[in-house]
Amino acid sequence: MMRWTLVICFFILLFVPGCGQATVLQEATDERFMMDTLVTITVFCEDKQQGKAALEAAFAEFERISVLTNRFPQGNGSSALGDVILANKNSGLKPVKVSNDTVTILERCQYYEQLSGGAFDVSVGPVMELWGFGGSQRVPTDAEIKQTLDLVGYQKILLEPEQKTVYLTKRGMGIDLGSVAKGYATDQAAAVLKKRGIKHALINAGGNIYALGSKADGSPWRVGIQDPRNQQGLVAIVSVKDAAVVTSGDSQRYFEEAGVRYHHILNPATGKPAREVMQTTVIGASATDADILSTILFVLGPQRGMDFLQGVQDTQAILITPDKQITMTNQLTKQLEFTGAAGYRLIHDNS
Amino acid sequence: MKKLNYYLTIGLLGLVLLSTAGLYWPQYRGAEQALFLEIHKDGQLYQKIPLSTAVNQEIKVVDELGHYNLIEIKAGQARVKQADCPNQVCVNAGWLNKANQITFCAPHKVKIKLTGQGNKLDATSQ
Repeated sequence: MMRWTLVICFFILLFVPGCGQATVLQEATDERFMMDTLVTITVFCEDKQQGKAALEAAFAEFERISVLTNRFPQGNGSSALGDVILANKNSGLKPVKVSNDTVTILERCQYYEQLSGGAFDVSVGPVMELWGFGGSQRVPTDAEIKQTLDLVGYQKILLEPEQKTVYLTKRGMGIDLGSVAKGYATDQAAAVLKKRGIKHALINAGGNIYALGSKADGSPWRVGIQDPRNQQGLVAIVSVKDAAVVTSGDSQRYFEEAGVRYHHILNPATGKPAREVMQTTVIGASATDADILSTILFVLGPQRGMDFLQGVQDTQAILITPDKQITMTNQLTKQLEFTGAAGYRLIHDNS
Repeated sequence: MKKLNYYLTIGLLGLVLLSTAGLYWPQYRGAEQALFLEIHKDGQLYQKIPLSTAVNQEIKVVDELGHYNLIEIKAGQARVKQADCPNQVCVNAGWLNKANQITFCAPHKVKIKLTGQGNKLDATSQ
């Protein structure tokens, strides 16, 4: 009788969560407003103090990249001007010395600018300003857009990686790293966490997600993909480990005029909001690349976007068009579950 | 001796069942939680309101420069109804009515979140 009891007890304890684990990982989490969004970082590690120190180091990376890439001076009393502010201020005047990080970011941007034939272009700053995104938003006239587009074109940015200088060759030009900076900061923060021995973490930079490793129990992180027409709803849930999940959409930063929605993802060729999709989500190993690619796919639309993606390795994507049709890469089927949100339908998978 | 074995067996089983129940009890209690609206300002909890029993109302969160977010509670839901922030991301987020839904105003450092029993998601990409 006693022997059987011991056997039963053993099996009960075996299946009780936590009892089979050698060590219980501690959770440390914190959130801060930075880079014009809310950044939340959660880490799991054996020692809570180690976790807190890792969080501080990760947030310091966000702060560092934020200062370098901001287009406008930050109201924190700091007199130091970031690289982007300096480069824009000296447009048409002279090259400016920039940090290694800024060179790395601009090199990556240049690569994708060329690869996408200008669908991605960080020199779109003056047009962003014309529309007033982040300030007084308005619909500019076609004449204004045409005139401002004269200042846009990645070929007009002279980057000298050896000298670590950048020169915007026309007066009035301006670079806007809004579609890459959060991704790059996320990668830097993740690298710092890894360096400190963190194996399980989740970085959420205003909806740009990076999942470091698995969850503490070994299962993948479950990341919801927002419904672009119901911000508190989801169209799908994706399970990921060691991956970035980045979404670009027309549902957060926009204004309406005469019943038309004008959002902030501009087609650099037309200077107007891209219209072929209302949301793109990119899943890949690098948050920097995922950030850039989500914008490229948004501008290119489902057809050209999916063709473009075939030339990019190890990257998955979900595109949602204004008529609620969902296109996604084939490999995602293994890690994606649809919520059945109203009106959405999967039209085809694309390899 | 047989009697002792019997009592030991009952005792041991009881102990295991109790400790198992202890492990699951917090989760069960979590499931019982009602929906709460939490308003955070500058990283601090500003107000916590039980949504299911709250009367329809508007709460204005104003910062030292006079900038504001007007939060509306109506029929067990909450939203940022108005704000004088430049990007209107918080207003565009619409109604929150399920646990773990969240919206924020980065320029004013205001966050509103619903807590309670919710989905088992770790984050939302948006």
